[in-house]
Amino acid sequence: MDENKNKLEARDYNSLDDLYNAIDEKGSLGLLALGATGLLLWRKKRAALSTTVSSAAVDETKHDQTNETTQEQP
Amino acid sequence: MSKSLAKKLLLIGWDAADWKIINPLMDAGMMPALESLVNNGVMGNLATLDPPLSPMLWTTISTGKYADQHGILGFTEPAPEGNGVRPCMITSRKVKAIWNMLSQSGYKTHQIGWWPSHPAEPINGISISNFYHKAEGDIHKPWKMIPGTVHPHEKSGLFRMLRIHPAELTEAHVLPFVPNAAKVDQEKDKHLQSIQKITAECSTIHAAATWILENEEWDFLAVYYDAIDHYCHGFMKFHPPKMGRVKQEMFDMYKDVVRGGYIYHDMMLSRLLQLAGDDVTVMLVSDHGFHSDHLRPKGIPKEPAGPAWEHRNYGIVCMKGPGIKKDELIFGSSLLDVAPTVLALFGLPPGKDMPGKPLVQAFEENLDIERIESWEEIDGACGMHPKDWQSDPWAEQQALEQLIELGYIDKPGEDKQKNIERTVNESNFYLARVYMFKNECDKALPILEKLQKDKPEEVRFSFYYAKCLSQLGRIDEANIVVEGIITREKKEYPQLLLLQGSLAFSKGDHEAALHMLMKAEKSDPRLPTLHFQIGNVYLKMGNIEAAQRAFTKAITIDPDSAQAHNGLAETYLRKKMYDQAVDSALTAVGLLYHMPQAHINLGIALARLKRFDHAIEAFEVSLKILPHQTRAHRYLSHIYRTQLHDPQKAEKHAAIIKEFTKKKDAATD
Repeated sequence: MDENKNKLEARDYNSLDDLYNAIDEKGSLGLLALGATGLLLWRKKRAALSTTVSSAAVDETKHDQTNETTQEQP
Repeated sequence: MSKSLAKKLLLIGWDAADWKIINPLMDAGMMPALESLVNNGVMGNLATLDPPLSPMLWTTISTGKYADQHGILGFTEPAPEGNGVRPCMITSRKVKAIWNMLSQSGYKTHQIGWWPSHPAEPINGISISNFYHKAEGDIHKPWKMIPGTVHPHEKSGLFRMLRIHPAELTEAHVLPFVPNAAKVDQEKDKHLQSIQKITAECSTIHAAATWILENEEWDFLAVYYDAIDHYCHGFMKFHPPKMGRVKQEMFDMYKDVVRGGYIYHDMMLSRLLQLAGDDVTVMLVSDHGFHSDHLRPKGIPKEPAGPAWEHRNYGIVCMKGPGIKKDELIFGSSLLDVAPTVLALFGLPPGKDMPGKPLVQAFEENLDIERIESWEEIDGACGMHPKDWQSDPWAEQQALEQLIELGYIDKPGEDKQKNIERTVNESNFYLARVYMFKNECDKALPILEKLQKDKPEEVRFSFYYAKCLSQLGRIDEANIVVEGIITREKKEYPQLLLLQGSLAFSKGDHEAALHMLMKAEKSDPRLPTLHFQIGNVYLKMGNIEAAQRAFTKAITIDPDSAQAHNGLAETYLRKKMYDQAVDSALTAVGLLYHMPQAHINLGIALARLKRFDHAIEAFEVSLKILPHQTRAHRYLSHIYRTQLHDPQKAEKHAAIIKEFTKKKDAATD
């Protein structure tokens, strides 16, 4: 077990915002070990990332559609 | 009310936690939170009780009482109105738990996940039952919160949100336990799912506990984590050193899981300590240990509660806080001592009906701790359920399936009546073992007699019946029962040979005893208590050197064998090496306080060293544990008469001996 990777404590961060910024979508044992705070922050980040991914996907689709439309034009 | 050392107290339960695993991890700096707790407080073994079954033991921890007093007698119980069986419920607990006593005393008290604690009790704070964290079904389907899981009910929505479904976890949560998880064929090998489930469930409990610590007022919070026990039952067979029967590829894949489980608990502990604050009293306990070395059983017997064979006799205790000694060891603690200690720390009196003792050796100052008759006699709102409370059978079925999955109970058959009968038999069997553990074999005997008559095919019932007869001195009858087992089973188990050896020993046939014990040694040389019993035979035969060798061998196999240390104390007494006898007897009582014979040996050695005050103390302790021992009274009478010149006290003990002998003679007639 990589202990250092999982030693994530709220006090190691200046603020919850810093902690939030450090979280990735997959989470970590360190976040779960923070209990309710870690869990809720992880879920929030995950939701935000999936929204971002969804928006990006929508943008990409729009971009493709635009390209298709563009290509159709002589 | 006595002086209160604790302003706030956090009681943490880690099922099956064991110093044998923790110490090397702490030495390697991998459990820094626990290390800080230990360095700033006291640590020691916590002797378990028999049978070592978690719901019974955790209820002993929370009530300070034996299972025959508190009423939780196994994993399951008959459901009301003859409707099959259900997991044991808190409504079967007959006495107050520590959170009831504290609630009643006006403290803001919270309880999370204790086993059993469903339905949640209406205490003065939040109570979350042991049905809270059990995840069932698909993550995409609604995950129902079982009614009665949370008190007060208004908080149910909040705590529902803090549950973590196993499927919510990602590879980031599994890889720390199994670095090569990607290579596992999950269609065939379900171990990864098991890790996910265990981790999600304990993280759910942790999320609830941390939320309360962050957001609620509190004076006392008790939180119970079952995950170490579950990681160990699933993966201890893969823990280093590699066991012979384990395949190399499985060992390589899963060898870090148990270690990872402990490290994860340390990370959670770090958060709890951080949220609780520095001025709080923290007590961390486990109900039993878990064999992690050469004493790991080669196989698990296919019987109800079979996995309990993996449990070790010593759990852990450590505590820190205001008024608690720092960086010291404590000895002779038992599960029975936890509730009286919590009460004493709050300046409240333990009940005289609590057989344990407050762990005053951990306190910096001597507290004047009074006892009241019983907390059960104190009226007032304590947050217990009314006696006629009924529970939800649907919810109970779900928890039953969890127990089946863990191997603690068999899958119930179609016939409900048969299931009920099986559950009642199991509960009675455990009750009989509780009585035997308490040296109340006269109460155990009729229960075991009926069980072995009704179920002759169950070897364990007959085996314990024979043991019980033997402890009552009815050796011939015990021999008949053992012979019956051998005839029926058509084979000799090492445990049976050991029992036969003990029976021959009790009859004074030392040669036959040695013969049986040597046979047992051939089939299982590491059988617990075998070498201790061989030592006893040699002692009786007057072969002190051979006895010493046998006891030493027993200690080499299991350094925590209190019986073997006590045997060694006895050999030193015979060799007139009284200082060594004191050391060995102290080690024995340090490991297992509730062992009257070791206190007697300690008393004798101290008396020989002319340390009469301490000798008297040792004899008195042995009589507190097991009254009516003529040997202890005889020594006390002798010391008072010949050394301390107190004829009154000498006569008092002499009179007790006389009365006891008279009663014994009358019974024999």
